[in-house]
Amino acid sequence: MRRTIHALALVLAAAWMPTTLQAAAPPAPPVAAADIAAGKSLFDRWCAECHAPGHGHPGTQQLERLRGAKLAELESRPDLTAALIRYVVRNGQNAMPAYRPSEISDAGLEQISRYLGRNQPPAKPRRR
Amino acid sequence: MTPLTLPPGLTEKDFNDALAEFRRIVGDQYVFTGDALSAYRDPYSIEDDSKFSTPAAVAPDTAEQVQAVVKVANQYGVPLWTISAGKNHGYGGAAPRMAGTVVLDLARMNRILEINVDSGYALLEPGVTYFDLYRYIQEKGLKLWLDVPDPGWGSVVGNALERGIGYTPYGDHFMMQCGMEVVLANGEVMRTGMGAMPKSNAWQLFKYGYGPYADGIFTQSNYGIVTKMGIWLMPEPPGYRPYMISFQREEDLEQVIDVLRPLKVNNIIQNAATLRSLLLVAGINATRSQYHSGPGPIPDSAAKKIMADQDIGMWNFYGALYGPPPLMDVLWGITRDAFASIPGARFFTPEERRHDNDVLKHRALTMRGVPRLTEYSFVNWVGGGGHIGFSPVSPINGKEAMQQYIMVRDRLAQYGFDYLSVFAIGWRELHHVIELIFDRRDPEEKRKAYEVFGIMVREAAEAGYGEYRTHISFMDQVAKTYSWNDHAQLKFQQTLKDALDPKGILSPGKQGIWPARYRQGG
Repeated sequence: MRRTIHALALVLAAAWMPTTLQAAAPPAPPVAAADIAAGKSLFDRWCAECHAPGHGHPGTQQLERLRGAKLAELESRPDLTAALIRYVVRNGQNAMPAYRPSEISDAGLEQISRYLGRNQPPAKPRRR
Repeated sequence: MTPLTLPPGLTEKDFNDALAEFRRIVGDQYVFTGDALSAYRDPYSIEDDSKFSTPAAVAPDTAEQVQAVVKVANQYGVPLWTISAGKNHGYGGAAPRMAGTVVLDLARMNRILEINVDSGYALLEPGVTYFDLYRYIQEKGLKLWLDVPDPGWGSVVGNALERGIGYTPYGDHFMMQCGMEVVLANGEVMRTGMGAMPKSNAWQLFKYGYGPYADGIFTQSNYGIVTKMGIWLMPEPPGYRPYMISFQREEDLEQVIDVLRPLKVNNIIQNAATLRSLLLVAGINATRSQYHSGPGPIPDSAAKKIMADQDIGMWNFYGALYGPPPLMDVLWGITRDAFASIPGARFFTPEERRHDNDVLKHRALTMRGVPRLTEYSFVNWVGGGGHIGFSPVSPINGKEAMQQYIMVRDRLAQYGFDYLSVFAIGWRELHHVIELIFDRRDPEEKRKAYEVFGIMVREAAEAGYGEYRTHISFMDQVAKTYSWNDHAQLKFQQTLKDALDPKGILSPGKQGIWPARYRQGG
């Protein structure tokens, strides 16, 4: 089980997502402006110190090393699904510690996920 | 998932009944079990997670709810491990010392109850983080500075209770603490110092009140749950000048520390200044693999290249001047002349540093109390993000600093780890904080980290150096090194524990203090 967790913990740094998370990720629903604003506000409070653009932000710095400049800044990434964000926030990854539901509630985490997931391309209908 | 461990001695029914009571007190949504507990693991544990697992977490919102939770815990015999922001990283994070302990999570108690600008203090609940307090002060435009540790996500109350340190003249956080509200193990609530007098308005002004001074026994301890605390804040000074002095040779450490002692003891160096090793500074902007891909410690040739690339020394002193310009001029003259006696010493202001991401530019923020996470970058030195703090204390004495440095450097090298450290200069002593950086994805690295850490605790104690704080994995071992007169201090601490918490419900094993019911197993 531990091996599984460690494998999952690499997803943000990996070039692809594991099948389990891909399957779990629903198509991104349309996001209301209020949700975006609430998610942005929570991101600024809990995430930006590590993941804002520019110098002095360890998360941005490390993601640039691992994924390159285009995927270093979470707020402009097009590939962040709600399932992935939920997993990393609640379990941590590498240097990043997890955040508890007493700090970021499940509802708040959902808003952060919608904010960071807003750049995802719309899901294409599946061919049968 | 780590298997569920119940509190020792409790049946599943009793445990579930206690959880039902907790839910009644704090609300269903603030009792966490199952998958919701993933974030209560120590992210950087070097032992099996099951040793520090929790079966539930309870997050009250008020001191009254804390009292009620404690009463239920007493009734059922449920042990509680108290956390504030839960960011005690490198020392165990939010995880309890003993498997089966329920985490009492005070993060929701995050109210800034009072800030007094004229007298320079704040009264806070334990969930208030440095970021919270800083943002509040900035929003209100108050002319007060915080003192922040690296990094700034932790609890102001929790850090002072752990006797953490920062970098301004208010860097000894417990020294700047004044007045507490504490929920005792029997559920009673008490206020210390002047807070014990109902009409006093000096609770956050005079630390000692009347009679025995109690606040100290609630730090690094398990005698009560602090639900409010006063902390002194520094009035914004009329001037501020941060600086850096780099020293080129490894052996300069001895002279640097000897030069520092009179400057610090006489308060010429006003702040809680730090002397940082090459790799600790380098690790904020670089990784090991950029300079060395082989096993073993960084070779001298790579060290020289790092020094050239980042324009830093083997040792790097970060200090600051505070006050009216004429005062800063005088203090700087004395400081500069003293360090200029060391061959190769180089002096810098932030403006003189050539890289945008230079560490002095970052430290210029932390030395005026701006909380950041920038420093956390060094935990990525080897990849994988694992770190644990080893922090022996010594006099401000060059020979002893060299002795500690060589002892730790060589022992870490034997196990393949690099030496990254900061000497935090107190008024009379050095905290030599060594960051043991490992890849937390690698079980063999974790095993080696555990083994070498235990050896270092033992060897340091044999040389007379005790840790000021430690990780949950080593709390017992470190407690046993404070052994003078057949462990008289630990026996006293246990006597207090048994008197104040006879059922042993508060943070069992914290700092090696076990209640009677677990003492044999501890």
